[in-house]
Amino acid sequence: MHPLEVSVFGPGVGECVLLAPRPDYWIVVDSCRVDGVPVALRYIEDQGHDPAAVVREVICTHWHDDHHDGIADVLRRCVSARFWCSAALRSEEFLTLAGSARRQYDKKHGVDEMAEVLKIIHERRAKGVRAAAVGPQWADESKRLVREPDFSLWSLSPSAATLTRAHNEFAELVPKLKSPKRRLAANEANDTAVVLHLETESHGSVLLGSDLEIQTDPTRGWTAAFSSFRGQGLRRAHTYKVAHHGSKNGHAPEIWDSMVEPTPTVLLTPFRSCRLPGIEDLKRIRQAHEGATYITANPRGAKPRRRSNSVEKTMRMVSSKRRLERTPGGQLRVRVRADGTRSVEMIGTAFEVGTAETA
Amino acid sequence: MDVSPQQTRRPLRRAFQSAELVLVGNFNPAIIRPSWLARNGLIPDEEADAAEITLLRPEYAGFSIGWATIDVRFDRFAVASTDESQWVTLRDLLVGVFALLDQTPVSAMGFNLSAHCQFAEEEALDPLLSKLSALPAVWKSWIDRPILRQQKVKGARPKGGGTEYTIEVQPSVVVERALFFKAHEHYANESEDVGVVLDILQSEWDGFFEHSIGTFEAVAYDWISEAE
Amino acid sequence: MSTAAQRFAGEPNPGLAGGPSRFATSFLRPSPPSLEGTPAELKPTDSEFKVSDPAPIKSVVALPAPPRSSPERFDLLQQFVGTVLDVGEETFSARLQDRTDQSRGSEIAEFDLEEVSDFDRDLVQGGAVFYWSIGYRISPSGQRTRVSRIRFRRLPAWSRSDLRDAEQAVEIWGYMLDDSE
Repeated sequence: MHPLEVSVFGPGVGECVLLAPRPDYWIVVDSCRVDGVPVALRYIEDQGHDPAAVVREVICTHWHDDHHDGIADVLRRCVSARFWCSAALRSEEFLTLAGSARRQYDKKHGVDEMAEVLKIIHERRAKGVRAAAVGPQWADESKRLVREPDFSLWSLSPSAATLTRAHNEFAELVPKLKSPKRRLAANEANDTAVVLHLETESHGSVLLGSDLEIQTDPTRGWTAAFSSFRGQGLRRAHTYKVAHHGSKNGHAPEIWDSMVEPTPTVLLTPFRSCRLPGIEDLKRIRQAHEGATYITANPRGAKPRRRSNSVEKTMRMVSSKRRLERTPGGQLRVRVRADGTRSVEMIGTAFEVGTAETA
Repeated sequence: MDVSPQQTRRPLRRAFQSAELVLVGNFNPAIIRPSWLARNGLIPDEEADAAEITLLRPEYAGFSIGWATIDVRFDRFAVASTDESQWVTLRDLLVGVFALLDQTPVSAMGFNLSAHCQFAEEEALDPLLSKLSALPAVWKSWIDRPILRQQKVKGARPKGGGTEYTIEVQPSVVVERALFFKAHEHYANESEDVGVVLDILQSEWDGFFEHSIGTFEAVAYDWISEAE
Repeated sequence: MSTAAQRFAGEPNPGLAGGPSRFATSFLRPSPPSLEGTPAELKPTDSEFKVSDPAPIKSVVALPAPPRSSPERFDLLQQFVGTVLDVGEETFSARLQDRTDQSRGSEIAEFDLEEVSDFDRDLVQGGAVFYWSIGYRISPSGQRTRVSRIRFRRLPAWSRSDLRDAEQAVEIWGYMLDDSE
């Protein structure tokens, strides 16, 4: 029986997760690029597969641009795939925001990638492909996205209460007459993120935390996602992609107490713009479970290559804490066999978080 | 010793550079004033207040805002700067103006870049010039000691979108041990929709500079290696 | 002076763009709009063999040569385009993309708000774009001073036609909101 594969990519900004519950059924969750190419496409092709044939679902868990860099290229290539995104985007306000991409001054300003996705879907729908086959499909709490004989994929968020708030928040982001044109800063509205739970017949379960954070309101955030998890009677996950790059706000007790096994394989991607995860974050995560913790790349980032002396001197005078935002980054590949054994390969800059990293 | 230009190449020093963006169409110079630019948030109030006015008339607007000069006539709109750090701001300024005046018919756009490229002290430029491109014999019958002093090459910029790309080169009369280069790229706009030229401006401006400066340096070093 | 000699001996002084030219052609007979160089530059081939009727006089005012820009020079060594990520009390963080060497990856850095000119302070907000230039300022006398400049980009705000265009997205894509599996 073919092992279940979970691959996580994180070059320092952005992340991408590939789930392969079967060799002919790949699920791409979010997207990032390395050297200009979406990592999902490069990896699947390197494994000897045709993305157009094997990728069946493309899921954007979060509309912030660190989660969907290159996702339009992925969808364009994966002609057999259905597109999913958060139900929080199912609003005229979000469509207006995406429509404003054309009138922005910058090519990369926050929703341009989503605008491209909508164009691709529109083209396919115009050729007669059904919504159920191409999307967009809307993920929210307690929704079964995929139902196959040997596995199911569930979304556990966003909650109904979040959806209402989200529509109001998007309304605020929609451009207003005479307001300045600016790039959208990816700081807010993490409670619209889609948490995914893969439940398989023979290879256990996997939990992907996206960027969901804790909210004081129990009808939103991780408390609501946990209710959804419990309500569906889902099994605890042996593999967990940590929410929100290991931040304190993404660290909900319910995850560790009830949603993942006591000795899980824990996977992290860094987010250097926000210096996540920090040393305290890594300590907290390691102490929360008895398994092993891995990360795709150093969260601190490397120093940039030196420029000329004059330039370096001036840069040091004017700026501080300068780091490369993105490095080629690494991959964490988890293979789960039917007997429950798991192996983790650390490729590129990926490594296991030990005591040295938390000192 | 046969040494390739790349091995002997020292960086060329570019002096007295100037970049200019020109639009041809139907304009209203009466609108374009430093205060108008400031009022629409395109330049700070302080720059507008400090502007040096050459002439402001219904048929002409000419002024300098320190880092750029603006020259507007009924049929021509030009912005220029000699400050390389502001060439990108020059682009933004033109984009800003015509995002506001989005009904202006614009039939053509031109990019211009000129620079004096000075060689390091050890390079002997003058003797090299006499060895440049062989002239047909007929010239020698009519001119004593003929020398080719200027080259102008017209074509298309590789991967560029313009209808015409021209580079001129001649010895500099301003800077010693230097060649004067001028690059020009022309874009015709049949639709006269200013939005089309603004899209081109945003996508091609940087590429025009990068390619033109690369060409200046390649030609300059080629002239040396040819003479060697 | 013969025509041939005029052609090359009369080359305009290719100094600073916008500088006064000895060859102002716009007085009384405005030249056709030129995309190449400043309108005051003599184009030797224009008058060489053409026999043209005098163009109608468009203005009795002698249009001047374009105004000069600053006599100071700036030798640019390095330029970044930055996007503000976060603004604190005294500092702001930004993502920097190298415009001088585009093969380099983006960087994150922190700046003091003091580095921003007073007239740009209000523009320091999340998502705002700025240019950071490093180089040498050279005075007319040749004095070199190393300089760092941060200048925020200023572009027009959202217009009515921008918003109409954005709202069209709802008309075109709105059917996708009604779909259900």
